Amino acid sequence: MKNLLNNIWTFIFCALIVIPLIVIFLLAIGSSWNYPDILPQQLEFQNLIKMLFTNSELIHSLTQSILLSLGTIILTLAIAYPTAILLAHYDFFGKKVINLLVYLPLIIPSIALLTNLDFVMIKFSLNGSFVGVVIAHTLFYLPYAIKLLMDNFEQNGNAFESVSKNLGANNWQTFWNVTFPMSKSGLQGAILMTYVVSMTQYLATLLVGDGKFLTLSVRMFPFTTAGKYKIAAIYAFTFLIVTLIPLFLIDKYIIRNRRRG
Amino acid sequence: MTYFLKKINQVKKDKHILKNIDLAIESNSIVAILGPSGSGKTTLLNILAKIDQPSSGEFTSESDQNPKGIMVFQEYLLFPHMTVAKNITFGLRMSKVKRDDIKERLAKITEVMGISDLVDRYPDELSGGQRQRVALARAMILRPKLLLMDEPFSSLDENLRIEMLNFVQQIQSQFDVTIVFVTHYKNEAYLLSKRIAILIDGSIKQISEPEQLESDPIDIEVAKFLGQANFISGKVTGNTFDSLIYRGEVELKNNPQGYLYIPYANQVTLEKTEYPAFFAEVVNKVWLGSVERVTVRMDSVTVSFDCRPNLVKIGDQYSFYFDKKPVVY
Amino acid sequence: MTNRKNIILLSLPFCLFFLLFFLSALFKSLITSFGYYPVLNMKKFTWEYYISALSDASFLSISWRTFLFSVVSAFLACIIGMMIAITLYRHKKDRGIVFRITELPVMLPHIFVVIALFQLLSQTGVVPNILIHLGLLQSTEQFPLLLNDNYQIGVIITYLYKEIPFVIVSLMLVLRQMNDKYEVVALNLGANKFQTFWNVTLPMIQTALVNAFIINFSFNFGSYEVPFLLGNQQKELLPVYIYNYYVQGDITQIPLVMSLNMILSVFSIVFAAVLLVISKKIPGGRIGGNR
Repeated sequence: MKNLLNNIWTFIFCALIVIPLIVIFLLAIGSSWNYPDILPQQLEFQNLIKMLFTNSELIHSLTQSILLSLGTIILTLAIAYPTAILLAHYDFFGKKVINLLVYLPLIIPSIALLTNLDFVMIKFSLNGSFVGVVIAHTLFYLPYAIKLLMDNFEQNGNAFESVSKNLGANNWQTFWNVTFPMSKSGLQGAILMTYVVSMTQYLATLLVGDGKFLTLSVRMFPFTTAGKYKIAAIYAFTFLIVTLIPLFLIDKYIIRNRRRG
Repeated sequence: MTYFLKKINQVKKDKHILKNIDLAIESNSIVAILGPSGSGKTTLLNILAKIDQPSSGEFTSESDQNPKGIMVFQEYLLFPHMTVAKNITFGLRMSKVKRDDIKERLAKITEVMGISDLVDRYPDELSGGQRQRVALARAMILRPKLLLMDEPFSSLDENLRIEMLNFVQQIQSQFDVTIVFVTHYKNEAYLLSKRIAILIDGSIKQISEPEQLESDPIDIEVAKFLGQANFISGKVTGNTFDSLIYRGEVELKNNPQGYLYIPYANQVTLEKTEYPAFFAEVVNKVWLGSVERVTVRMDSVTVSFDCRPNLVKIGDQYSFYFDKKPVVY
Repeated sequence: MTNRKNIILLSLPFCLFFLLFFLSALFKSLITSFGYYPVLNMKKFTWEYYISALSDASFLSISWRTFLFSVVSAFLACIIGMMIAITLYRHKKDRGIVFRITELPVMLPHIFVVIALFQLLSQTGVVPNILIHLGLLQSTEQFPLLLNDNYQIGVIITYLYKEIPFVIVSLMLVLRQMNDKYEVVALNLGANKFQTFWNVTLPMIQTALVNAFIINFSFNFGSYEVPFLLGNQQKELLPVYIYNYYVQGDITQIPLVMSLNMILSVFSIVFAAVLLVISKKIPGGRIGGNR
């Protein structure tokens, strides 16, 4: 009896989480879901699929989103990876300062941070440029990426590096054969999350990009404010396809397989 | 006063962990529950601590219908976010004992345990032995009638283990507490307790004193668990046993499976007795302090046992005798 | 010596990036907020903008409203998230499908929730409609205004949807590392269930909880998207207010905007620091909550 009650609560909890996704899905594939309909009047799957492959605005948005994400992943890793090694394995003067600095972008209100950043980007003439937007995206996820990788390095410790060097490997060999392979799970998490977070950025893309980068997230906004929920949902659905499904597959096949192997 | 365990059964997820446990525990004694890991020792202790309810059966005592043991856990489990003082007084604070009383009892118990100067430290600043004393103090400050200890000495090194064994004995007599402790080291059990219950595979096989346990294990499972013995397989016909190294009259245990039991200690001798054992060559000997462990070979069979030092030479052959009539399980 | 070289090499990317794009941005808005703005030929330092910001009644009331709103929604997320996390953990549902579903909202953009809320909870949405069909409501006007309302309910729902799972996921990491036998010890020593939670479980997870609270609070306090979509124009929230100020195009207002930014940044940092110090001082702070 108690077990049944527990299962009911668990079900309600999961249902509450999934409902927005179902609504997005129904909006995207349904037609004329307006007051006073409880469910869409018709489902038109083909239309959606056709749109995904032929609508040039949608495809353009998708490419922009993915290009910006890839740029962000590269820049984020280039900064977060060495910083994580530094914070996990070295003791030095000023370590505490860096440790605090890392988290500041999370604590300073993002609206203040963004307007400040936009202001300085104009000074560097980076506003409206690809690099400028990538930098803005990087700033917002960098704390998480560093933390994720740092936890990974701390968990591994650096005894294995000592073993490798003791067995005659040089620094470079040690890095490629020991440090890097052992950090794969942290790296994977950091890459996936950077990808998703960069895809979701709205204001950073709009403001620093001077409105030139019409990513999926950026386009969803005007449609939503104008009450065009169906077209907004189609963009959202596209977003889901390119983020959640790869996330799920990678998690299911790569991470599981590695655990088994 | 006596504590009684009556027909205790514990079934979890179709696994029968404890089977019909019957045990009487005299107050003011130390009882050891000895058994290999996975035999259900901790499950039994959890029932005595009222952490777990048995599937059937009951745990009672003559004066208390609902007795509850206070447990000292294997890993000590000192709360890492509390100082030693806060850890020790936890139980008293939870039952809202007056502050002055708490202070007084804390001072007393830390003095007895010899940890008065540690009260402001945190658990991660203590050594293994100190942690155990704090864990013991945390339980003893509640003045329990029944103290339970789960593998209390397993994580201590050799010297500390002897010290703590003595200390626990001292505490027992000083506080008139009944102690039940579980272990898988028979030496720990022998050192601390006069009464040992062997728990194998969820059943209590034998309850006896250490000497009796060693000389007369009730069945082959107990004998094998206690170890320190040779088991020679052979054939039983009537009262005679027939194997490569020994043929002759034996004492048969219940349901004998055909294993001749030769413990290392107190069974094989060079002195002539009425039970001639075998004629064999000494192939190795190891110094163990007061005795030598001698390994002899006969055909393809090797047998080990303890002798007085320097009695035999490697390479020589001797006639060996059994001290008493050998036992077959 | 190689150690030192390594440290310099490893810290270089971070230091460079932060110096160029974070600290410089802070520094530039700092001097601008004090009236040093060469573009307009202003080169004198003055407190003028801070004084006018701090005497601006509408800025102060919006800030206070946003602060309250952020604290309340972050606090709700932490409490509800903690209860769910502990319940899931107790019932061994912390892995597998339920946990996967719990992780979902952490990765979804806020606007997903916003679109769904509009479709479901606006007065002509699906939920009021179902209630009418069930005979619980007579007309859509009886359904309370939940979106773009005076009490930021729509914004709070959206934030809770994202932040409760975030709290659950972060606490679950700590709960899994924690030895749940500590609770058994407490019960065996005579504590009741509430005492065990309050004296043993809570101290062990409080640092993770405070960290999650700070992250949630800072997000709620400074993020623009959701208040823009679901907020009420009469009861504006800070991020919308500042954004509008910044993009309205009046370049002479820039020093004032920067002084607002500075005030909010300093306030957020101090608030977070105070919370962290408190968390260090109360039980559980000393061990970082994960042993």
